[in-house]
Amino acid sequence: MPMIEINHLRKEYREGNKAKVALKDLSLELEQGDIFGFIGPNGAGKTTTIKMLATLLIPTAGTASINGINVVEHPEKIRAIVGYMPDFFGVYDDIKVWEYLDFFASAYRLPRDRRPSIIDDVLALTDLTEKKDSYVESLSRGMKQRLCLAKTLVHDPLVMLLDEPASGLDPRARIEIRELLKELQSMGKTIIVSSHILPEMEEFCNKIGIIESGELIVAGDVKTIARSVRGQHNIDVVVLDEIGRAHAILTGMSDVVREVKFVGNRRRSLSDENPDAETQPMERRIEDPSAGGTLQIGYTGEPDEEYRILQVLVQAGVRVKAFYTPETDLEDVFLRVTKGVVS
Amino acid sequence: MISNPVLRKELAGNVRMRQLPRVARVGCLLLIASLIGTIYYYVIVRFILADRGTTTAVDTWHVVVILQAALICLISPSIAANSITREKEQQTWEMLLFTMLQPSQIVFGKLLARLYYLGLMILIFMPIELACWAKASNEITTAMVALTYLVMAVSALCFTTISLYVSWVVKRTIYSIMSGYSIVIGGLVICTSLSAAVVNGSLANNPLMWINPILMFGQAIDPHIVTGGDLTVAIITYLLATALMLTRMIIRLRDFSLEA
Ligand SMILES: Nc1ncnc2c1ncn2[C@@H]1O[C@H](COP(=O)(O)OP(=O)(O)O)[C@@H](O)[C@H]1O
Ligand SMILES: [Mg+2]
Repeated sequence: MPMIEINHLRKEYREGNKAKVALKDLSLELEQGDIFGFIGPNGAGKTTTIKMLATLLIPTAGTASINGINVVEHPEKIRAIVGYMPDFFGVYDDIKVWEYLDFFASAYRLPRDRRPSIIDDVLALTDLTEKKDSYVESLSRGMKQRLCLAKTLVHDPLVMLLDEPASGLDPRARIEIRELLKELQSMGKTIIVSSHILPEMEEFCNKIGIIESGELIVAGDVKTIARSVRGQHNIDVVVLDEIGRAHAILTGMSDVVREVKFVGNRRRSLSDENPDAETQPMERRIEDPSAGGTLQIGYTGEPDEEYRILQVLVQAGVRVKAFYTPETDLEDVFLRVTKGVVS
Repeated sequence: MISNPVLRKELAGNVRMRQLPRVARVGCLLLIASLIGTIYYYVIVRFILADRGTTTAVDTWHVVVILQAALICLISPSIAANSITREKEQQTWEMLLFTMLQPSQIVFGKLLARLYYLGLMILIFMPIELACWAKASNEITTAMVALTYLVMAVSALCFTTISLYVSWVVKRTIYSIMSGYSIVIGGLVICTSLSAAVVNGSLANNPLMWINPILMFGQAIDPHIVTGGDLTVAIITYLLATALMLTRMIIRLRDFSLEA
């Protein structure tokens, strides 16, 4: 039985006399332990979908169930097994961090004698142990975000619905959230996490869905999607020198390599760039064929046989420094998909 | 009841002094206590008990009950006005509803916390009233005192529930404050008087006037002077309205189709 099962879910909002369709027809299945990245621009319908799963909105049509429980028929059972973090939220003022967590722990009917150890556990998990006795309003934005995550964890939910947990955070706080999500993943939780920023998702999501104007355009595992969208996925090859020769060899492998682009002289990495910025590399002209640099290839061969390319390069004596699928791959998929390449 | 997490949080969180250093907190409390003690001393010992007759006691009784009535009519329509709108404004309401709390826990937690503060405000006058009653027990009968407190309790409960109810219905605190006063002052005090005056030209013996809180307090303070109403009907009406509002809130607290 899938952990989350969504069938033809639809939501219309009333706007005066007109109905505004926020979500058209969403069907999706997620297994236990899946981390589903729910990606789409603002206004795509992510929050609407998550709120329906969280029993906070009634669907116009369609059904959704979590762990076999229908979200419309048994909202109180859903709340017992789901943790929900809204996209916008506030915290109570005049209350300390541990009191805040204790309040939610008692609101989830956890027995009084078990609460202190649970609070300590979620504080440790979210790295807020030193802040236990601080007042909630004195926390930074990133800490409040983590506190909210801690709050969603007090009742040890099976499923977590996180609506843009990293939005509005600085890069450091974002990385902390990302680490935290990886930890939750290792605890076996099923997580739906929405975002309008892609690169941060790829690292820990095993499945993604791209949604635009209320329609789920693609959903599935990252590599499969990349291939189904473009018939290829990107690989970056970084060489120490002789980039001209490497370019020639790769161009010669036209049965599995569709295009070869020179994209610069250094390894691309997202951690030193602004994740919101345009990260697709520009193609450049090779000025010095004997120098090193990075080539991006579109790989069209079998998914698990990329190593053959590396083999050929190494056998030809090319000094390969790195060979990897760039993090920005997902972004490229997103741009292609939402421009209507698929639909 | 005290195991209700909402009630506990509301009672603790409403004391804005919490973040003051302990010395300042104790100082504040001492200051308030000594102020109240001084007032008690002067009014009770120097004024009521020092009087040879009972006129002072009876007059003081009237003044104090009018003061309490005014407090109830002016404070309770807004005392719970922010209890739910504030959560909506601070974006904590959704998360509160997403917990496993029963709607009744949320509703009664918030209601009782506000009633507790209102009760403190009202009961602070009680020693003076007891002194009046002890001094002039012929003029101020035990039944009158009991009736007065019953009217106070019922109207405080009803008006506080009204303010909680509007806080649930509207989105912003400012609107719920305005609605609370419109209903209690505009509706129950002013409109009943106006309509009674317009409909049969006299305030007395008009059923609409019965639920006017001023008339109700008048009857309770001195049933011999103020006549023309029916306190029983009024009290039952208030209790029924309170029960209706609470029931509707509890049944539909999580009804989000109301909002969208
Ligand atoms: N309460 C509402 N009333 C009317 N329209 C709404 C409401 N909430 C969201 N919408 C509309 O529904 C669409 C989807 O919104 P939302 O689910 O918030 O998108 P996302 O979370 O992906 O940014 C948007 O066009 C938005 O304007
Ligand atoms: Mg959103």
